[in-house]
Amino acid sequence: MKALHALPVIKTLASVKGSIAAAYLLLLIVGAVFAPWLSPYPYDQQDLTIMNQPPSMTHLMGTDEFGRDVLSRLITGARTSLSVSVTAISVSVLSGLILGAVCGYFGGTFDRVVMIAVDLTWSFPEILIALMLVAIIGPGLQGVVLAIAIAYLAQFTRLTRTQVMVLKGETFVEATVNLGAGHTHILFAHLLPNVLAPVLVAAMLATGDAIILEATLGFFGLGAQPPTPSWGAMMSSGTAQLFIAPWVILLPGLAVALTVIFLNLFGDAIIAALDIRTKLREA
Amino acid sequence: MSDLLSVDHLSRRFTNAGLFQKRQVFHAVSDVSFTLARGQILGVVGESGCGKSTLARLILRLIQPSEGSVWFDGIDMASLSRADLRRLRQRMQLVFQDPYSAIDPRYRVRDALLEPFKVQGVKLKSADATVASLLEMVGLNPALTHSYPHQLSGGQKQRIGIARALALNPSLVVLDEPTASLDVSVQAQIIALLNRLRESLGLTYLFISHDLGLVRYFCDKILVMYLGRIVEIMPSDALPAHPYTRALLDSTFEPDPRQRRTIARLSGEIPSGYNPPPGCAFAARCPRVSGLCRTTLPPLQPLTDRHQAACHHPLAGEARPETVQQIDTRLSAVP
Amino acid sequence: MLLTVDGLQIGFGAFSPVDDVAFSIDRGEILGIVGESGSGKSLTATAIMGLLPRVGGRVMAGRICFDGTDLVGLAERQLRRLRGGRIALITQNPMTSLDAMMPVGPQIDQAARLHLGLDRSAARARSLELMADLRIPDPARVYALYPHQLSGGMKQRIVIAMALAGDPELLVADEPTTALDVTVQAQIVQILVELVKRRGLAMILITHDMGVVAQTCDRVAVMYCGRVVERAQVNAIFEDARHPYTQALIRCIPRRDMLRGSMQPIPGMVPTAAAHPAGCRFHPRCPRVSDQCREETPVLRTGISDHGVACHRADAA
Repeated sequence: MKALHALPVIKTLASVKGSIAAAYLLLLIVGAVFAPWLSPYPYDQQDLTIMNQPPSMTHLMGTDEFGRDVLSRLITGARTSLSVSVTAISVSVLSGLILGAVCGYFGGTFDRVVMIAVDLTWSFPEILIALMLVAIIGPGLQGVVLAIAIAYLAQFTRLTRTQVMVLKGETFVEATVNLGAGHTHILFAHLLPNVLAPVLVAAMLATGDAIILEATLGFFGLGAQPPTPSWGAMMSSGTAQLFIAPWVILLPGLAVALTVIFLNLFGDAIIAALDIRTKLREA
Repeated sequence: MSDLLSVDHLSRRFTNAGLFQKRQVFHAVSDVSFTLARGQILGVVGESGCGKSTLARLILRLIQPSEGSVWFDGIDMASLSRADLRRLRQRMQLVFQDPYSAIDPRYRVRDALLEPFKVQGVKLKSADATVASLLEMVGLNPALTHSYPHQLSGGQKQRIGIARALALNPSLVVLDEPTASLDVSVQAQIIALLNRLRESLGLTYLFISHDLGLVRYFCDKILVMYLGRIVEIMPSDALPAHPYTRALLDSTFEPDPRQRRTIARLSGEIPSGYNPPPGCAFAARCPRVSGLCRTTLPPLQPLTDRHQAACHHPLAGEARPETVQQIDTRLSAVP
Repeated sequence: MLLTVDGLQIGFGAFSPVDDVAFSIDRGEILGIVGESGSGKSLTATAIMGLLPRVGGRVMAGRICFDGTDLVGLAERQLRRLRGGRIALITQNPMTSLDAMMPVGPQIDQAARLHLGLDRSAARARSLELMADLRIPDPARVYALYPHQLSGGMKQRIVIAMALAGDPELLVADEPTTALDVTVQAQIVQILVELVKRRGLAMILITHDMGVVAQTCDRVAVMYCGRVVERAQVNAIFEDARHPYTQALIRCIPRRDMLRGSMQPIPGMVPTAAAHPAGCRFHPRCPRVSDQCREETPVLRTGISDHGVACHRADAA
C-alpha cells in the first residue's frame, strides 16, 4: 500500500498555502452552490430608500445604487463567475485533451492543420475573440463561455500534444504495442492517464484567468444581463458611485482578486505535491 | 529441429529530412540473414549503433523493414493483417534493456502483469492466482503485488518485465540487453532465471548484448554485428575468425589477474551509419587490413558448416570449433 | 602513503550508509573499490573529494589523510584548492562533467589556469599536450569542438584530460568506463593504467565489475553495505578470497571456461541503508552464516601480507 502521507491530495492540503487556499475555495464553492439560502436578501430586491448605504449591521457590505444588498449580490455573483469559468475551462480542457492526444499520437497532416488553427486562436488577444463572438451570437453567457473556451483551447491542446509525443516514445508504450495492444488501449490506458495530472493543474491555473476574463466581459456589459449579478457587471455599475459608495466597486474587485490568488496558490501547492513542474514547462 | 525464426536479407534505412537539412539516409540494418532453431539461444553482439536493437524491432515488426522478410514459425510476417499481427504478438515477446522505463509508472505490479491478458482479450479464471503464479515463476515475493515500479529495485523490475513477457506463453523471447543496466551480481541472478525458464518452458531466445563474454557463456550461436551488417556467425565455443570479433573478445575483462594482458587496442571508432564506407566497415580499425578491404565489401562466407565470416582475411585455423582447453592453450601461447 | 582513510563513517540523517571504512593508497598504485549499488563505494569517493555536503551527507567519524593533512574538517576554501588540483575526480558519465555550451579545449584549460596559474596560451599548449598524451587524434582540431560533436569515448578522454590538467597526485575514478562501449572501455582502461604507472599517480578505481579490477588494480577493497569486508592484493583477492561475499562476487562473472548454468548468483538483494541487518550485514545472504554472525559485527582483521577480512567464518570454508 502506498503510504497515506504520500498521496498528492494529502500533500497538497498539508502545505500551508495549499490548506489556506483550499479553505477559501471551499467556502466560495459552498457560497455559490447554496447562494439562494445563504444570501440575507434576494439579490434583486430593490429598496430605493436605502441607496448607497455603507456597510452596517443590517447590510454587512452595504447597498448599491438601487438599494440592493451587496453581500447577497456578491454571493450570487460568485455563482455566475464560477459556473461560467468552470464550464468554459471544462469545455476547453476536454476539447484540448481530445485534439492534443489525436494530434500528438497520430501526427501527420491532421496534426499540422489542427495546430495551425489552434495557434491562430492563440495569436489573438482573448478579449478580441470574445468581442468577435459576442458580435456574432449576441451578448449573454453562452457567448462568454464559448469565448473563454476558445481562448484557452490552444494552451491545453499544446500541453496534451507535447506530453503525448514525449510519452509515445517511452519504453513502456513500446512494450504495450509489443503485447499486441491497439491504439485505443494505448491512448486510454497509458497516454491519457499520464497527461491528466499536468493538464488538470494547468486547468486550475487557467480558471483563475478565466474568472478575470469573465469579469472583464461583464464589466463591458457583454456577459450576464441584468438583473443577474456578476462580479464584472457589479464593478461596472459601481464606477458611477466610485466616490460616494466605493464599497460597491471595491468588494467585487476584492472577490475577483482573492479568488484568482487562491486558485493560483492552490495550483502551486498541487504542482509541488505532484512534482510536475518540469512537465508543465515543457509545453 | 525446425527453424522458429528465419530472417532473409533484412534491411532498414532511416531517412532524416528536416526542413532546412540535406536529406540523409541512415543505414541501420543492411542485408541481414540468419535462422534460429526452436529451443536455441542466439546471441547478437555488437557495440552501440551496430543495429542490434533495430534488428530486434524489425524481427518483432515494431518497425517495418525497408527490404527483406522475417518468417516466424513458417509465417511471413509481412503477409499478416494488423489484427493477425496483433494476435501473433503473444507468441513473440520482448524484454527491454531499461527496466526503469519499461513499466508505466502509474501501474502497480498487479496491473502490469494483468495487462497482457487484457490486451489480448484473454479471460482469466482467477486474476489473483495468475498474478501469484507469475510472481512465483520469476522468483518474486507475492507481497510486491500492489507495489508501484518506483518502489522496486532494478532487478525486481526486470523480473516483472520478464514475467510480463512470459505471461502469454510465447515461443520466442527477444532479450534486448536485459542486464546491461544492472549490477553484475543482479545480472547473474537474471541470467540464471532466464536459463531456468528456458529449460522449463521450452523457450527460444534471441539475446542481444554488447558483452561477448556473457554471450559466449549463455548462447548456443553467436551473431556479431558491425555497422548494421553481420560480420560473423559462429558457434559460441568457436574462436573468432573475424578480426572485429577477436577485438571484442580481447576487450572483455577476464576476472583473472594472472591473465592480465595488454589488450590488443583498437584504434579509431565506429564509422557513421549515415555514410558507410564502400568496403569493409571495419577496415579503418582492422590490424589485418589490405587494399581490397577498403574497396570491396566482403561477403559472408562459410568457413565450416556452422561458422561464417565476412572477412577477406579471416584469422586462419581458428574457425574450427575448439574445446575450452584448446582455447586456453592457444591464448596462453600468444605472447 | 599518499592517502589514508581510517574509520570513515558517513551520515545521512539518521542513517550511516558508510561505516568504519579504512584503506590506504600510495603513489604509482591503483586501488580498486568494488561493490554493488548501495555498497557506499561512490559515497566514499564523494567523501574523499570533500563533496559530501553537496549531496546532503557528512563525515561522522574517521580521518581522510591526504599527504599528511586530514581533509575532514578542512575549510571549503582549502578543499577547493585541492579539488581539481592535487586530487582529481573522473566521473562515470562524461556528459554531466562537460559544459555543452563550451568547446572542450578551454574546459581542459580551466584546471591548469586555476590550479597552476598558467596564462591562456600556456594552458592551451598544456591541454594540447595532454590530449596528445591520451591519444586523441588531431588535438588542435578537437580542441575547438563542442561535446556533442564527440563520441562517448572521446568525451571520456576529454574528461580524463580535464582531471589531469591540474597536475593531480591522486585520481579518483568513479566507474569511468561503465557508460562506454566494450572496445572503447578497453582503450580507456588501458590509458588510465598507463597514466598511473608512467606519471607515478595514485588512482582509486571505483567499480562493480570484478573483471575490470582483475585487469587493472594492484590492491582491492571489497565493500558491502557500507563496510569493507575484504582488503588485499589483487592476486590474493582472486586466488584466495576469504570473505563469502568476495567469493560470490567473483563467481557472478562468466569466465571463458564456464558452462551455461554454472554461474552461481548470490541469492537475495542488497538492503538499503535504512535496513542494514544487525551483526554481519551479509549474514542474510551468506551460505556460511552462524549465530555469531547474526549478532556480532565482524571487524576487519589483517593477517599475513596485508590481507584483511571481516568475517567470523573466514576460516570455516
